[in-house]
Amino acid sequence: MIRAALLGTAAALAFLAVPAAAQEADNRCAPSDTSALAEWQGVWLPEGLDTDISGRFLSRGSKFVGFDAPWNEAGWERVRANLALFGTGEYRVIGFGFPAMLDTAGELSFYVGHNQTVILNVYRDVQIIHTDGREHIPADEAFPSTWGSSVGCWEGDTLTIDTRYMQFDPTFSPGHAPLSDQAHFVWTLQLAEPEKIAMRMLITDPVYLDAPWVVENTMLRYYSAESLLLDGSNNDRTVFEDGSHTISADGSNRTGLPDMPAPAQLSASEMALLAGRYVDEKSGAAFTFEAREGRLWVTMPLLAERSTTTPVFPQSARQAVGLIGHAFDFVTAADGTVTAVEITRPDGTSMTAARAAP
Amino acid sequence: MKLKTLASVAGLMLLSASAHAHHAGTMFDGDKPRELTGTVRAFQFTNPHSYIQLIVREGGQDEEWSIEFAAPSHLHRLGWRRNTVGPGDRIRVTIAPLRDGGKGGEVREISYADGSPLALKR
Repeated sequence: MIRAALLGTAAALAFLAVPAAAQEADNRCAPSDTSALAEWQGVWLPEGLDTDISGRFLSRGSKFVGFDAPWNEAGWERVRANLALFGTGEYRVIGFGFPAMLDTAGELSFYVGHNQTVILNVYRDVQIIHTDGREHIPADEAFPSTWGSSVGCWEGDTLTIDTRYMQFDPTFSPGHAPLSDQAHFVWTLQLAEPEKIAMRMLITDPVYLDAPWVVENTMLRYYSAESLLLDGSNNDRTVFEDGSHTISADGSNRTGLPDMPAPAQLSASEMALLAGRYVDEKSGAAFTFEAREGRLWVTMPLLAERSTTTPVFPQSARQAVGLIGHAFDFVTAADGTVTAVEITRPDGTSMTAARAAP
Repeated sequence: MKLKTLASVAGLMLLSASAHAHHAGTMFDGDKPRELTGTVRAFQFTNPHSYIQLIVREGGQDEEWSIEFAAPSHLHRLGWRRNTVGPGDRIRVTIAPLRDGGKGGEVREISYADGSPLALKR
């Protein structure tokens, strides 16, 4: 059904020049021979779209900025509002969303499977195209997202795709076409040549477009990378200070994790003094400390109150901290034996567990 | 029609001040390019931006500058690798400096200190 619908739509749009559709409405949209589509593997680049060494200056603009789109008056007002936001300079790019993800200065990869084709770009934008013959889920059950929802059908080397439920988010794709969540995308991808994938997209939007908007693009095979060099934020040094962005001086602490004090080194006999089973009388919670492999461990109610074994980090012969911040203060009798442990949880609450064994 | 014209002008600005740099370029002053020559302390080939930490001798004292570059995926395409520059390399950069007067900026041009181009793998 969906195959017939997609191919019917595409055929009606003659300028899309979709290859002649198979007439059988067999509800099968999977590629007839996945191995024949092996050439889709690898890394691809939108043709002619590159940056300089700063990453700021493009060799051409994204085709999804949309200044050539047939906006209606409300659409142009929305474009203006979107650019006003863009012009504040306060945006941060965390991806491009759909459809902008298809024409950025970053590489893409296509993963062609039997029941789905997945497109991924370096900004970690993802487009999952179901090709198992399913219909779109009904609008009242849809979950609009930055990437929308896609179903597609393969015919030979051409994938025809229907995308709906895209929700424009200026956090993504800043400055790109601010289509409404009623926008409808019918598009084709075709391995036109061994080194070139051709894309043709027809976009309709009853809210902001006066007429269909056609976007055509090509992606060229990029041989210099074997896989995508994914974007990330492990060294995000842009900080907001005194009303504007600037560069932080120190890029050495890339994880942002705090430095932890080094644990004290306890001897085997010191750890043996602490080892044992301790029970909190009020709650019945049990804490079992044991020394093995040169390290002190505790088994205690931790994750969803399930008994979990984790390492303990001694601070002294009678004090230690747990993996997620519990503080353990061991209570010693006059004869030097350990009789109890006072436990302070990370939230500040505490309990005292008396030694039960050995 | 007027609106379309204005949008086209804005579009030209948009194309030159692209969003592909993860954040706006308003923090940098492109109208006041500055040339720095110094010694590389570190090259951070990192996301979302790469950086060169450059030691520059100014007024008899060493100053450390943070020079912002594109993300590794972009630089890789331009022939850069994680060892394209490294500690001890003498380089010359032209930057759009930070507007807040901080010791940093966004790169515009780079070469070795003697003006010769970096050894890139294209």
